[in-house]
Amino acid sequence: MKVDLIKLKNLKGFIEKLFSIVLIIILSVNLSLADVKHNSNISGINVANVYPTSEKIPENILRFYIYFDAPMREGNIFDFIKLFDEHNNEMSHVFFDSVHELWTPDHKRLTLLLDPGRVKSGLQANSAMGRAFTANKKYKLIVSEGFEAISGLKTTADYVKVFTATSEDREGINISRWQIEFPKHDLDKLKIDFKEPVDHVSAQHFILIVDHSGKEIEGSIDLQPNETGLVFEPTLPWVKGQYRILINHRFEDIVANNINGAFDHKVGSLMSLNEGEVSSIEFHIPTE
Amino acid sequence: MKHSISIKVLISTLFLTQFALASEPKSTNVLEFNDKGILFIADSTSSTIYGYETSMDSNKQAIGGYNLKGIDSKLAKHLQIKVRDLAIKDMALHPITKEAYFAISYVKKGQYHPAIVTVNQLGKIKNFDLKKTKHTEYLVSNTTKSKEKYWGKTPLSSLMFTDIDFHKGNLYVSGLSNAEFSSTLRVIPFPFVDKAMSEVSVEVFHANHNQMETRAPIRTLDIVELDGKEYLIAAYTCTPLVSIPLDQIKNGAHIVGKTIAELGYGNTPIDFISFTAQDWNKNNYDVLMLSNKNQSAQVIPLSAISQSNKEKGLDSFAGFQLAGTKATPVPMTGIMQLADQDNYHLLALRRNADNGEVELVSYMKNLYFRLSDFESEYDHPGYAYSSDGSQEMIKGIQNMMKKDEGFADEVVK
Repeated sequence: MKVDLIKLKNLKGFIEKLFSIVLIIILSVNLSLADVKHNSNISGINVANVYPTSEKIPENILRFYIYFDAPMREGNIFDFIKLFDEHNNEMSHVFFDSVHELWTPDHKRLTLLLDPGRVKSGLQANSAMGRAFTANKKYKLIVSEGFEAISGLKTTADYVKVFTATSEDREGINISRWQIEFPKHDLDKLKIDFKEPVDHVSAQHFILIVDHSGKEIEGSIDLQPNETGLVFEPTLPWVKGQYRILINHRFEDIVANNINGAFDHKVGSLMSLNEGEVSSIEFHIPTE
Repeated sequence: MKHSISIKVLISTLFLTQFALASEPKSTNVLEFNDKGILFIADSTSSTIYGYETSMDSNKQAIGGYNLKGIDSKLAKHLQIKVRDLAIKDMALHPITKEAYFAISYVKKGQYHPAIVTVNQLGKIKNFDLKKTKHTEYLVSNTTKSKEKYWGKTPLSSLMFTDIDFHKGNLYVSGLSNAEFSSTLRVIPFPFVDKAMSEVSVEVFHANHNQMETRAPIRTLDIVELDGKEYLIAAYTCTPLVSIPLDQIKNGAHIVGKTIAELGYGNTPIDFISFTAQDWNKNNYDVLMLSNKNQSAQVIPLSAISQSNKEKGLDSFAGFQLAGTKATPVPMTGIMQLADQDNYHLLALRRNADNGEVELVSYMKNLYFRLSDFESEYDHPGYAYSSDGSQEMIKGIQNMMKKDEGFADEVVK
């Protein structure tokens, strides 16, 4: 009997052990499931955005920007980034296959250039193959799943940008056509309507507001849909006085025409030969 | 309270110390040597060009050819990483020791890191110390002209250095912006002096019926002398070859380069080198060699460039053919990097199409192929060169190539 009791105790101990093992297993399975769930959240990296955001893009476009959620690996971008025509045929020789991939230092933004040879009039690539896009036709830019981040995680879904090509744009940017809503009171915003989609980096980088002493006014820039305008909100309220909007002539639209002239221009037609010219528009805040 | 003040003091001291020290590259993108052994490193991440002093000690292997297979695996092993985590950005050859210097970017612990490593003919790999080696630096802001004091401080628009060339005390620097289509060519005197950089904007002239010109970033460049005058020859992103007289490159100038050739569209030129070649009659002639990403390398005699340069430039569509200066394709493909090694050799980093491995190998100048890449009837067992002497020259060349490519035991007496 004693023996049996011992056995029973042992059995009890065994059952308890078994129970605790099962519990540990259940817990760890739960934990690992939680891990998996957590990981799948982390691994859900993907394309965050593609610029230009417009669904209508001139046929002589020179550049797309792809923003990712995470720092990405360089080296084989064209295994994952492709263009398709309206018949779903993959297009060849469209991108400029640079030896250097154009990533930002944080590896979260990739600049894709379209083969400039096909965009420029008079070069062989343009004459032989024409432009990559034809007005009124539909195209798809696809960043396919599996694009690897530096962390080793990969994009989990295809990102598809559908756009329609519009006729070529070979006009330099004319600042006098911009519609500007100047601020009048301390809390007003400054609004600029560019009247066409512009390069989103240019809009954020090549326009500055300065006060009468030339000091830059800090503030935030909000881009309007399709990058056709911006809204500037100063960090501190405006104070009475003179201000200037400075526009660098390297400011580009989405086909790389800038303020000096069109990307592809006739000899002698540039407004200035100096790439670094600055235009200035003055405005006045009348009250505090 | 006292404690927090001392921490503040410590932090500010550390900050000042860090500030006072010269920086080191955050990325290594483009390399170039001058004849005094200064290694220039262009760092696109911090928009800076560094000039490092290097050892001029002689290398016993300096005169030999390179025959290193699987160099990618060896470099990866040296850096304790996987091959897929290694990217070779550029290669330059030390003018005296003839060691190959590699600009590397590698992934470790979820981050890209820069490195310079050297390799000699025996395959010995050494780290080049970017911290301790004496160096100077020049910050190349991605802006032009003094009026632009406001611009260039945000990382929205950054410049990817595409090539640098050292010529008579100046560095000629080309770059590709990731946010604008600028065509600025920069010239920086060395030794570096603050604010000494000149900038010129270069347009490319296409002499077609519309007389068009365009902004375009230079992909690779070299400086050559044509009929006693110096020219910068630039290969553009869609392979037109453009000549720019060097004496026109002055700060603030706007230059229109002449398109003298189109060497194949849908192609990215990788490197330009110029050297003296020799024909079968042992006459010397200067050539420009262009290595390409999407087609075989091309050799162009400078005399042909000089001739095209005297003409008005390309003015009509040449069908699907190449146009302008005649370039001779040579059987060098898969070339990732190319350098002028010595009087007899070109050094190439190439990808072997059969096994995908990366190799560091020398090609003999004028021949532009490697005997060991091919299997010909000369290699068949029992093949005997004709005894009548008609193949003596072939035999001599093949024996020379066998020795050079590391197969001295296969030399036929």
